[in-house]
Amino acid sequence: MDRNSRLAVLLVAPLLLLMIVGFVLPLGTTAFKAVDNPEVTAALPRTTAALGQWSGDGLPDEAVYAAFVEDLLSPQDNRVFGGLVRRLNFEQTGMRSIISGARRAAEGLQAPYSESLPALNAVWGEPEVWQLLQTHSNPYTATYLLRAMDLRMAADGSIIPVDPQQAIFRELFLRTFIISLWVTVFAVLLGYPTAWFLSTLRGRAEGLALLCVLVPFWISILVRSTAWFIVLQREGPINAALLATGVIDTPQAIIFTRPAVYLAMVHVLLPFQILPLLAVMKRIRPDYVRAAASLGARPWQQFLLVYLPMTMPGVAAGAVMVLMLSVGFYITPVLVGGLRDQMVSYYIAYFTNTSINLGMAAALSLLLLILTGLLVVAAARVLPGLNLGARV
Amino acid sequence: MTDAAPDPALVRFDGVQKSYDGILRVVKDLHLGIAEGEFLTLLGPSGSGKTTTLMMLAGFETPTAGNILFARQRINDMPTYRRNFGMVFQNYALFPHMTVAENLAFPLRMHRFAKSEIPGRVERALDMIRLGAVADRRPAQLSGGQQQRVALARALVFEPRMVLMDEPLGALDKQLREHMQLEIRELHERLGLTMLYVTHDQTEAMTMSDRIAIFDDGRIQQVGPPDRVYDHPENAFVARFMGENNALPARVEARDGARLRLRCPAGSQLVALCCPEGLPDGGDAQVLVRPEQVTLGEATENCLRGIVADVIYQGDHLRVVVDVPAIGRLSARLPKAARPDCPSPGAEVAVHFAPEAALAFPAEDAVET
Ligand SMILES: Nc1ncnc2c1ncn2[C@@H]1O[C@H](COP(=O)(O)OP(=O)(O)O)[C@@H](O)[C@H]1O
Ligand SMILES: [Mg+2]
Repeated sequence: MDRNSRLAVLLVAPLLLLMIVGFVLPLGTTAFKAVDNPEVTAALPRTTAALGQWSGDGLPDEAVYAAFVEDLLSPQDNRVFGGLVRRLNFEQTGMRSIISGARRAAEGLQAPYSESLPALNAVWGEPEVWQLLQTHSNPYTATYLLRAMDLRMAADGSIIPVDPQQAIFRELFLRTFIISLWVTVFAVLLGYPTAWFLSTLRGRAEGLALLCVLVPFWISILVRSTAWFIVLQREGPINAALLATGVIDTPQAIIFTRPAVYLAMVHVLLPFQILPLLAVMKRIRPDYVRAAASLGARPWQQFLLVYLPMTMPGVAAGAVMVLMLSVGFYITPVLVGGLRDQMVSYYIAYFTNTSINLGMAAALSLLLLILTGLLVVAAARVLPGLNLGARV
Repeated sequence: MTDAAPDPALVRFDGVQKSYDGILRVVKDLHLGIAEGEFLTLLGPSGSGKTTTLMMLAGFETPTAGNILFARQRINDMPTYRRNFGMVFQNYALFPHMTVAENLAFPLRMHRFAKSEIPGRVERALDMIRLGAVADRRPAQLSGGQQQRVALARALVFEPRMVLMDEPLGALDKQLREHMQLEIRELHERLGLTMLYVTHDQTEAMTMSDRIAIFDDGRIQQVGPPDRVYDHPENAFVARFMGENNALPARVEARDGARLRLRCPAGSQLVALCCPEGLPDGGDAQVLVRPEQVTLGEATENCLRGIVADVIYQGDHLRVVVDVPAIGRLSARLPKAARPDCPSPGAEVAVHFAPEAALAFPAEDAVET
């Protein structure tokens, strides 16, 4: 390597490091967490080894039972065991009490365990529970990703839908994208005329108006969402004003509804639509619309055939930004939405903070990322088409 | 108007004024007629109100006072799209999201030409500018000159009632500009169109126009054919703005009909024509002479002596710069044939010019503008 290329490497090194730390590392970890399956192996190392020999037909032999009891008896970190119980219970409800019961009774069990364990709980005399343990002694699992799509793997390895009362994620993803699409549509419809108006201002008025767009942009999303929470409450100023003017006679439920979510999200995201649009509009000299007028185009034709297609890149840039941001929205729906208005992020937070199921949180994140990516690619395909559609 | 003869002008500005802020008048009391089939150029320095005048005729601005008439109809408030004027903008304003052919079809579609007729017309327009090969390209893929021609074709293709152009050649390099000047002039002659052209380049105006209206400070200073405004400027502004001038300071001593007798600071006598606006006896004046009117050699009238400061070979002519004591530099434009007997720098020479070629105006600081 000569001096120059060493210098070049040195120059890009910080950027590379930033890419790795800020992008590759978190994404890689998330992808890994979504398929990582360490709990069973960590808590039951001997059982895992013994199950490795087992064909999976019928019942395993005494060696497996003995290894299992030995694992139960070995002095263990309760956190590791707790992880195992949570993991298996997530796969099959009821496993919590089965495993815990076996652990409590393990001291008093006599060999041969292939008889004493089923005597304790008949479940241990059936192949399914051992199949479950074997399946999940694999270091990787598709369970979380499947579950994120309301699917699961049956004992025989086929992929089947989960029980209807457990199937929540498809609807969740659908809801997330529908809310995001509507937010994007509203942001475009509101942002376009606003940006156009701003682009016509000059001098002091221009600076002032831009400030009005930017100030909310600089205020934290949490603060803005909280403000909407206060404004929309039952006892909030909107209800108070409506009551005072006699439009309504009982306070209306505004907060914790879907319209409240749209209102707050559109407000929070509007600058992301306005700013790229404004940048595009500012660069379009009045000559183009004037040329259209001089060539005989009526005002609506000037707009539809010339101005709109020319500002389409700004619409697209803003809309993609708004869409991507709203797909990942968390705090605003949490504050002003009801339970049926929550989006994927809410469940990611739930699995991370409440049910401590990082695998599920990672799987949802990964799926959200992939779906959003697909959406953006699709949008990129459609938007030049939009341009073509408006062609003369 | 009470006289029986109808106004022959196609376009008439009748006392038109324009102010953007309500205080400063950018166009002041404009009276101007444009005849059918005429090529009229608005010429003037930047900021003199040419674009504003064009914008009012195009319908992008409304006059603050006065009327704009087209074919004797008042059009002050008529929307642009109904005026049916072709327009060429300085930056062409070709629609970037349309191909060249689509750009040309746009005005035809807007004016509801029959669908079957449009492709043929577009094709003929492309042939006219010899750009048939680029019909399917986007404007961004064309050179500046090609874009200019497309803009021109687009302004003509729908057979507008007249064509307005605002410095359409400003963005082209010199050679292409000169070529396009001839091309536009030829198109004008071939199609017999009425054209209003705006430029700040006096050579361009001279090359192309039937008549030139010289603008300054929101007013027309003079209107006339190129030779008229060049050879017989009506005021100092026009004389100074059109072409090159030698300016000689002098004081009026006597008058002899249209001729003035003046004295230079160094004592030499000058004879010059008096400008139309007149000059008082004893007033400070400035005598303007064009370099091509100055010749070397002795003469009885208007003869000045000085030292050759420089001789410049300019291809088609020679320029001799002479330092005249107490008067300043005088520039003479000589035919190339004069080269062998041209004095070299440092030599003492006499120069002279005909009284008919010299125009005396009030001195510049005395002129109110
Ligand atoms: N839209 C406008 N608003 C305010 N002032 C303007 C506007 N357009 C032009 N002006 C002013 O009017 C004067 C004449 O401008 P313009 O007509 O463009 O002159 P020209 O085309 O001869 O250079 C200039 O002083 C310019 O600053
Ligand atoms: Mg101008």
